Amino acid sequence: MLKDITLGQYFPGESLLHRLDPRTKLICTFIYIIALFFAGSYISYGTLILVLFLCAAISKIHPSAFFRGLKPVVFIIVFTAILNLFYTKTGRELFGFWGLSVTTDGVKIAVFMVIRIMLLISSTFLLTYTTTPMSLTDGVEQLLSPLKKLHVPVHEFAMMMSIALRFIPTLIEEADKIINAQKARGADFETGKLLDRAKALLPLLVPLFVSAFRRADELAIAMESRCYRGGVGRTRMNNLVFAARDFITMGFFILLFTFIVVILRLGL
Amino acid sequence: MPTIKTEALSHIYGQGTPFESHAINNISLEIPQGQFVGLIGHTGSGKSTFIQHLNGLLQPESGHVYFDGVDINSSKQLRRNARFQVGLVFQYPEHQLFEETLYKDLAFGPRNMKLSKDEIDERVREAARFAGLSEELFSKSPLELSGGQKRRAAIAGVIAMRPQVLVLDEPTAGLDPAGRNDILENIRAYHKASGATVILVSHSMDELAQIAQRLIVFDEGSIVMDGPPEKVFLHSEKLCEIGLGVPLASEIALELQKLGLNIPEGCYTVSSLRDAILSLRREAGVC
Repeated sequence: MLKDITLGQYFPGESLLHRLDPRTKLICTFIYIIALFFAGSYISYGTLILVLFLCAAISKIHPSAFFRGLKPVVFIIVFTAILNLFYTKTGRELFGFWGLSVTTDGVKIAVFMVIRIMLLISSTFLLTYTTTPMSLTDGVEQLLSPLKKLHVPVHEFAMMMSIALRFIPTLIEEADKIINAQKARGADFETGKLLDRAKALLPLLVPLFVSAFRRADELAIAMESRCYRGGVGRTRMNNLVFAARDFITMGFFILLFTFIVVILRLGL
Repeated sequence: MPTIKTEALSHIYGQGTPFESHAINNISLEIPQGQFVGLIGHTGSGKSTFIQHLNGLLQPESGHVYFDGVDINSSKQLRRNARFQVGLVFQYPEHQLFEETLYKDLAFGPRNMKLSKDEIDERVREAARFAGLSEELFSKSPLELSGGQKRRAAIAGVIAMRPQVLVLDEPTAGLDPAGRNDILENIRAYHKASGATVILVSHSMDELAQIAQRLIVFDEGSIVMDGPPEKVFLHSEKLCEIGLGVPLASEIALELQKLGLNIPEGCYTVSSLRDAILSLRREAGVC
């Protein structure tokens, strides 16, 4: 059941998307998400859907990976759709009951909202699917490095992020093991009232926390014994360098953004 | 007599993803009640996946698991019962300890079985005795125990359910030789006293040679050998081929046979090899 969590997962590959500089991918994802919030018409949503499909096709990642990523947020999507459906008062009324009414605008906005959330999540998944956690944090660190001048501990943030990402799969695996071990002793995580279920989590949470602290301790010792002292004066083995493909990709996304804004202005 | 039987058991991990792999393939075997079985195979050979089918934690992609003639996956209730009939001790089981006191932790399994308070108390004390834990430790937090004690506590937590089959996945991994022998001795004593079936997973041939009545060798998700230890260790070449090797004593016996010495077949423990060499010397009139 926990294996469904795909956050931070990476699918190894050799596609163009895998080879792009992580900074390019971060910037482009960022541009894409902002563009998503400027979109409001069939043409702009159509374009954005098309772009995501194109990128997903280039990445050669199986479409089912995206659906699995969307599964945990189905509730939020449905909830948003229902809210938008009933609380939009403009447009022609289609039908109504119990004082609630559904209008044409309501349907349109609800559909757009659902698409927007799905694109938002899928695009970030595309980023993590094609980028290793290590290069992702390298990218974040490099992009934020101007903030170092303002004494923001950018390196430390990046390190914390990479450790967190690194340990997500480990902790999931660990939780799975503990769940199995407690199930083998007859623990029941799946049935019972809400309070019983919360109580049933104790045999999982206690060992999980104990082991998380133990791992943190071990990692700290391992880092210190290799003389890790934070970011000051630290150099890196592989410096990130933009290639032609990075500039082309960024150019493409800037064009996309301009296109979406122009469409918004023209009111198409 | 209750037995464990599997029929054409197969399991695939990550079906439909790039990580898809056949964990076990078409496993059929039968283990009668009271047998001491050693399960051997190197990392990734599917032995851990296999044992998780025995108590219904994993459901087979195809095939069946029968306990006492009943398919354990035929209903939810039966699958839950299988957890209590087949006690499974995972690798590094000390990571599952969670209660405030050792006593409460040992009582976790029996409590889930909805037993009476007296019954739970009796089982906890019995399990602690089998695992070599003194009752003075009962009020301590399980996290305060030493490494070896934690391991024993975790094993006792499963024994407390009085399973008819006890499955242990590498119970001695990461322990020092003394702790290792102690735990094996406890398991052997438990097997004798309770009459339960014991399935011991290990990749130490020497460990299994000492203790198991039957050896089952896993390689790449299939059973490649199955029989009493003295028969299995005869195929030393094949065992080396799949990266397992034979016990040290067996290796020495084979080398001595190659030198033309009359060492009987089936010397795979240090003590039997010692006796064989001593009797040879006696025959030769050396001592």
